[in-house]
Amino acid sequence: MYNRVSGAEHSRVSGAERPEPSSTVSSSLRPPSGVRDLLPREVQRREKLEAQLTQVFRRYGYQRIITPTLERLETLLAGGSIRAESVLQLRDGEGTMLGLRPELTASIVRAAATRLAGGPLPLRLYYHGSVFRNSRREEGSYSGQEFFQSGVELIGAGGWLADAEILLLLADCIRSVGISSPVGETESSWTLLLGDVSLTESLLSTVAPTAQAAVRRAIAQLDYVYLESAPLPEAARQIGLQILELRGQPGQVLSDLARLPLPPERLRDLRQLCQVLEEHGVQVVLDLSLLQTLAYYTGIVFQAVAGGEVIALGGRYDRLHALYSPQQAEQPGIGFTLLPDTLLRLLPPDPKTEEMGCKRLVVPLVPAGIPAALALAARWREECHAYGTLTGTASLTGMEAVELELLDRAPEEIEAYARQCRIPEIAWVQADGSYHITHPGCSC
Amino acid sequence: MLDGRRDSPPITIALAKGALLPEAIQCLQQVGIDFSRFLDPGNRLLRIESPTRLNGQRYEALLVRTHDVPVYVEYGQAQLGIVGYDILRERYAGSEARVAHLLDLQFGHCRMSVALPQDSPYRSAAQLPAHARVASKFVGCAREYFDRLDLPVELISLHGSVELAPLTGMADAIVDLVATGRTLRENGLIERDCLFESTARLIAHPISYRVNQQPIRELVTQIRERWLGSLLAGG
Repeated sequence: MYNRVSGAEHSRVSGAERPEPSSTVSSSLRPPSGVRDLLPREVQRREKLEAQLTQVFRRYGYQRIITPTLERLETLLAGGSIRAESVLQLRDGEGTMLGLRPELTASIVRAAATRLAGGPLPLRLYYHGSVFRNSRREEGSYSGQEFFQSGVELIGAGGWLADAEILLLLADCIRSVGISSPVGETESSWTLLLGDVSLTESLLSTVAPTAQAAVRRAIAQLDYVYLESAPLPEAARQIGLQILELRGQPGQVLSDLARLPLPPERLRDLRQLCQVLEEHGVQVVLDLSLLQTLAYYTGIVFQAVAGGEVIALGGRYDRLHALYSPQQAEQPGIGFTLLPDTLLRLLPPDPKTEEMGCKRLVVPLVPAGIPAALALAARWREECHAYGTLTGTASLTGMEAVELELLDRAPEEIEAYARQCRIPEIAWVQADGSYHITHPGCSC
Repeated sequence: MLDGRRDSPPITIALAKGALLPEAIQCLQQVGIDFSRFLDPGNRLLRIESPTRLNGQRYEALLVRTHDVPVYVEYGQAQLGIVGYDILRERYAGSEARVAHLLDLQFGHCRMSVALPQDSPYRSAAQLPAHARVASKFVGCAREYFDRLDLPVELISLHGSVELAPLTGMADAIVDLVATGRTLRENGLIERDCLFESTARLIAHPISYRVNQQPIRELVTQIRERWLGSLLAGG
């Protein structure tokens, strides 16, 4: 799923915010502007988020797929939704144009339509990966930017029940990472904006073809002023303004839709979908003006919104598969991507991640104690590994890590180090293998 | 419904310092939202809350530089903003608008125009030679316009007193806002081509608007009835 980069994301990753590197560092050794290193603490938060999402994805029977970061440019552009200039491009040895993926849906559908074709359906696939954009920054220059995305694709299942599975999965993902359901405080709530491109396009189909693009743009951008004042055919203006009115509580919007010339089976599907979402406590705003600039969507489209920001987005793309299939075989598809960079910004840092460092430091007091120190560290690591396997916790957090003192420092220096790194226990090992434990205490 | 809103957080409106401020405040006053404190010469506050509510909804205002109004709205720090169309055109020149245009407020009329010196051999923008120098505070709008004319020009970005550029010989033409045209005339310039006409606009953060449009829709309706209605009646 491709989301337009908001202004907020530009500035957050732009090089300008970083302190100027010292002049002795060659500029060629710095990362290119727009990409960044993730330091251990940020990695811990991100890994925890991904692990939480993975658990939910797996509970619904989704399996991980890893697709290449680099694709042929034509693969990335085939869906008609990605502009070539938004892709960071390079050439392989034979001159073929390649691009760093700006989203994963194209790659996954390509894999589903080729190597996975002919297997059992539906395909339930999830991914975690980074995407790259060549996008315009505040000051007008273009630069590459790297973002993370986690998401799912459900291929080979059409119909409202598949839509419901995807939206309930999305709701579970959002709840699992700690953004609570909308009942209760408004502070941490989230809302599902739900549209249906097939219904909106059906209404737009009566607009004169020459005016369609302008009306569609005005609807997507909520440009009331344009629709009210531009020299448009009166019918086009009315339909545009009417579509902008089709937003609000699902019950209200559905009854408005029932009065319009729309395929009744599509309306029935949408009503059933809204009902299931309501039964599962999802706060829905039905919004027929939700037209993302994506051309490849064919059915429902949606955005999950929290704190005024989009945290996930997706939709149904029933015509994408045929573009990648050697036999032009059609398969329905639907998916979403969560935006971990935004989620991590909205979620408060978890105090537990602070405690995820090392728990014990083993110090050989004399060189003759080194073999015993190594043996002690090995025994503890084995024990906590066994404990972690038993409880299913340690592998992720590394919470019982054991470190060995390598720098032959004086005891007070070692204690200072342990305090700085929040290591609660130090084991001092004698030559004969005996040891005693001290607790350096917390520096905070 | 009204009771529920009493506890909801205020809706924030970004207002532009300068020429548009008195009428923006007057417009909101017509519908019962009071930010007149910003007009008090002794006021130093940049954020105030209206002592009155509209349908039980609280409103607060941020006082920012005119170019920053769309920025605060784009980032969702303000759900609404009042700003000139010229500023919006400049910010989103060559890209998609990232704010919703809700309403033309019909004040702050001006034009974005190309002006040439009286003694210039050229009578319109299209006659300018390729690579002519054009000075402007609105280089985005200017670039869009000359691109459409398929005329390559050298744009010179200035921060103010753009009329000086042709006088000193630095530029052959300027692109600037014209309200009465007096400044142009006094500096020996003639307005030749109009790029677009501008008025103040009510803009909104698209996501906030989609998620919770009801109070904003009520505000828009009120402004239509009481402010635009009174403008029509008065003029």
